[in-house]
Amino acid sequence: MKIGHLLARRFMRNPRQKAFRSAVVVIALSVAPLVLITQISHAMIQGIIERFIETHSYHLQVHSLFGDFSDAVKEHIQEVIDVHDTYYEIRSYGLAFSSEGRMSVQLRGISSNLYQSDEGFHKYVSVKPEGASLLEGEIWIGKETAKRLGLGVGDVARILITSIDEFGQHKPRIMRAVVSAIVTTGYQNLDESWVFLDEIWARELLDGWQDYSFLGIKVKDPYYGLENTRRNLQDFLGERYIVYDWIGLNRNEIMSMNSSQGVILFLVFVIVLVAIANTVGVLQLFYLEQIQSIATLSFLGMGRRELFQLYLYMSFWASLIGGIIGIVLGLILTGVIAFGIPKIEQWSVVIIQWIQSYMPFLQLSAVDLSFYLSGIELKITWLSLLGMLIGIVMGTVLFSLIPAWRTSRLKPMQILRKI
Amino acid sequence: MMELMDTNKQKNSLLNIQQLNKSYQVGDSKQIVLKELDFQLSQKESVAIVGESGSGKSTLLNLIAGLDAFDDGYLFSCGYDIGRTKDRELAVYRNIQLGFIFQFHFLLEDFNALENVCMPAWLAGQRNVDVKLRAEYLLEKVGLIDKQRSFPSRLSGGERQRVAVARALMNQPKLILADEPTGSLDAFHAQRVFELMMELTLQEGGSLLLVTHDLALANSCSRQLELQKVQ
Repeated sequence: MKIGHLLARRFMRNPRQKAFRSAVVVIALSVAPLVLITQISHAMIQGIIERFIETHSYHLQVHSLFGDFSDAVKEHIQEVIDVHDTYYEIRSYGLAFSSEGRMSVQLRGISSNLYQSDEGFHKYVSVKPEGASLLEGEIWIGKETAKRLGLGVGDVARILITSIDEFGQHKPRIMRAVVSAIVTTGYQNLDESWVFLDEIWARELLDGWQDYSFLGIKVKDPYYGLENTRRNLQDFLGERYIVYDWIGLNRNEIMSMNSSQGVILFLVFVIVLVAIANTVGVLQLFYLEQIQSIATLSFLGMGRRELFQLYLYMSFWASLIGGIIGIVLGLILTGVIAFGIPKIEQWSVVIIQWIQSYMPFLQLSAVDLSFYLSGIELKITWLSLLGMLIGIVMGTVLFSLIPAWRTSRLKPMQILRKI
Repeated sequence: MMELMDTNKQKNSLLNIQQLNKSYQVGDSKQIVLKELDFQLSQKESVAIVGESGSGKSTLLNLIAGLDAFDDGYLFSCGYDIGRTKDRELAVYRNIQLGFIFQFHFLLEDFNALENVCMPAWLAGQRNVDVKLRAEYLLEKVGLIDKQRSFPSRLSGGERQRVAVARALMNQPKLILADEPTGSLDAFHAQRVFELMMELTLQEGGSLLLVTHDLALANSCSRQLELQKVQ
């Protein structure tokens, strides 16, 4: 073991070594929020993407230029490429209205067994009541739509749509349907305007210029090798069809999320840089705390190189220990936030009810986190944590190079005069 | 012949100082501490440096150790031309050729007695088991083998100074520099430490340069160098 390392290890163990402990704390307290933000933002973005691709865009979409999707095409797709399943969907837009307001909605004609048969759809779409039917004349509406229009299960919803008459003219008509369920994915931005109806009924109703249909495809792995699958399918289907993948279909949302995450991470990165600089300043205090020992070692023949190494070893260990503590702390905070979000909403309802029982004149609304994604599925990105730790250690050591060099240049007499 | 003998004597000297000058800047004026000092020290010789306060005794030791720079002159010690030696080599010189004993023990608080004694060897890059054996031998010589695992905070003043003596001899230096080594000890311990210092230095084949106010200790050395304050 190099003498600088031996000295560093011994100095670190000294209970009176406040500077080193302070440096560790500074690093830990700056790393913890960085971990929290990266893990939560990553989990949120992943959660949002998963919801988009499992419940809205599917993994791939096949659009026909001539509007034909025969069963034979579906069977061929399933045989030729490695898909999990295919679903026909027809979409349109309408204006839902009630005595309480109006709202533009997206009409989605889906197979009645989509919710039961598709694992991803079932996982991310909450249907209340569970097991609700979706027959002709029935619709499932998004939670926010139901709230704005004051609709509940069993109510009749009215939606203004357009269709083509026997003369080929577009004409508006009012569609009436019974609300058989309220749905949500936990991410309001995605599902606020959804209205699900049965696919067969949708084919009869929705034939206007803004309506379109497609085959939604679920593959086994939507992240790896999807471009190859898309290209293979496109080659197989030929020019009558266009195949899109979820990345292209959700490009704007993904770019927006990544951009927001990038800004947040940049700000936290700046905070960490400041913390590293402060740590290096704190380590200067270590030098003053150990001035007598350093003077003694200079007399005994410790050279500049050893003194330089000693300073860098202290920086290395302070950043490594502080980084590890910060990561552990950050992961604990992440867990608390992730599992606490649904509880926050529940507790806010309880607290508001209690307040309003004493002050009924107060108009308070509970925290509604479904806009931001209620419930976060945590998947710790170990590689990013490791990269973070390496970055912190390297950054601290780099920042320490100049102070270490300057300290090592001090002559023993200059050190002696400081005692 | 005399010149030749003088030159030979100079070449055989462990320490050779000629026309050494040292001053400090005090405000706008210059305070001369050492002026045209000439001095030689032979091998296995012990010299006491005496003089009133401010006469430059400690300054002389610092210059010999390469801890401070002199204005002009010539200082040759243990084969090193101190005025022309670079800092890195001076560190090696202090580590291998010199042993230090100060009035304050300057032991490392984070290391026990044995480790403190080993430190000069560790700084020299030695890690083998012989280092610990030698350190134990020296601690036994100073009567502290039972306290080898004790930290400085657990040792008395006299015991700490004895550890400092052992540490100074670890690398078998040619020259021991002692600056008031007994200044903070009572008479009994002062005498004991001094006797140990003299005995071990001579036993190890080194020379001793001792700064002291104690005339009794000064008289125990083979000769004395008296420095006078420059007016």
